Amino acid sequence: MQLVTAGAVDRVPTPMPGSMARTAGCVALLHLSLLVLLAVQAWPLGGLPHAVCHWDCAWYERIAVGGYAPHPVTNPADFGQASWAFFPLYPLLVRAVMAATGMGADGAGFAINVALFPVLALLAAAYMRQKDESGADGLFRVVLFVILPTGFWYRLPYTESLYGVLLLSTTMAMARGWTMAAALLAAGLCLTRPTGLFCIVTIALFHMFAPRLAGPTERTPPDRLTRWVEGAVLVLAGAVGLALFIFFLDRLVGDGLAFGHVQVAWGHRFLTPVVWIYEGFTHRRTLDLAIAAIGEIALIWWGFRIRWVMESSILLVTFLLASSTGLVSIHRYVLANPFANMLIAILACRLPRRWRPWVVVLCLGLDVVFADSWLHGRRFLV
Amino acid sequence: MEDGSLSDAREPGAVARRAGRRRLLGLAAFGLLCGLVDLAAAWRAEHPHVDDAYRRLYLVPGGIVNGATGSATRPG
Repeated sequence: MQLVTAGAVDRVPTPMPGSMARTAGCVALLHLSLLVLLAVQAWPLGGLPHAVCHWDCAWYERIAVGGYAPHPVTNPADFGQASWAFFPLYPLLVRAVMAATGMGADGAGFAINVALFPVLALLAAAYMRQKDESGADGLFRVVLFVILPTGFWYRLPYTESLYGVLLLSTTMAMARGWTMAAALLAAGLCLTRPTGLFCIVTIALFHMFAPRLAGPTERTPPDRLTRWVEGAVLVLAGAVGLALFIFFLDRLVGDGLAFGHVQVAWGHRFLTPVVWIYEGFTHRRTLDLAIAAIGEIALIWWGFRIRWVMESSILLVTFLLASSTGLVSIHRYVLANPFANMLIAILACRLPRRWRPWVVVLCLGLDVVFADSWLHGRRFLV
Repeated sequence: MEDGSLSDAREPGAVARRAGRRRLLGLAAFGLLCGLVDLAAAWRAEHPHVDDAYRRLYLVPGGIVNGATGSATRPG
């Protein structure tokens, strides 16, 4: 029986150092340009870090500054809501950056996302290159990944960038056979968002039963026993992240599942996604979300068609989880997932080449519109 | 001489197999430890120790009808 996995035969096309530097330079330049654009729009609203902090950002800042409150909110508008719904890794990072740099919570949260987004874009570039060995359209794909309006959330003080970096690096570490690193990253992912564990289970199942479809084809898959042990370790270690939060909530409020139970205060209840989507179409306020949900289903279906099976499965699981309790934020949950952005970038690469400048202009235009909308507190991107 | 060169040729494979087995055993032991922590967390999660007010609000259906929120967003 072949038990050796470390150092197995690599089949990855090694990128030229020049092309990597060019990609990194391009990502940095675009990221900086978009930040400057955002800063100009935020200038009259009190500066960038302050102006982009809306909704969930306020909860995260409260946790970072004062820790988790043991009691829920009692004012009539938000009755029953509590910080327990928000997972701790991102606010812990904000707190660490605040302590290390002396920045305020606004600045620390913004700085984390400013630093993480280029990392995410470079990980996505490597992932797409490893999935598609031809390397065609490599730079254009990365440019699109950075400027896509569906990546707008990555620049905000939300968990999207951190979640994306952890999700991609877990997948890539597993594909390389770096199980312990993947286990640590998986625990971090499960400490970032409630959907983390479901993504980890999906990655592990593909690793165990369909290794050729599990992420970038980095190496010859190891034998079945090795794959099963690695997959099981990934799930068990990832669940430790969630377990730590359960222990904490158990001590704080006496209910380890308080993060789930408190969701009722946001009006979430279980219904099948089809019912939620139908209801979304019947109310003007949720029409855009219902349309986004249909678009997401189409994107996921297309992902399966081009054989991005594991990635589309992760998106499908995320979509089903999110849309079974309501449509609010369904666009952010699915479209801000790095796999969705990669699929959109690949889809755009299949359009006629003469359309490319218009695609770039459209993305930049929508970025400006989205930024304006967000900065002025309009709810459709929440 | 011939025997020696044969065992030399076999040795790297055997060493690699032993290293592979050791790695798997290490991973299995780590997984077992994680599994115990997960079981403990599952047990804690199944046994909440909360007061009546909390129970009525969050653990009994209908404690909060439709959410109460006009301004808040979905956590995530």
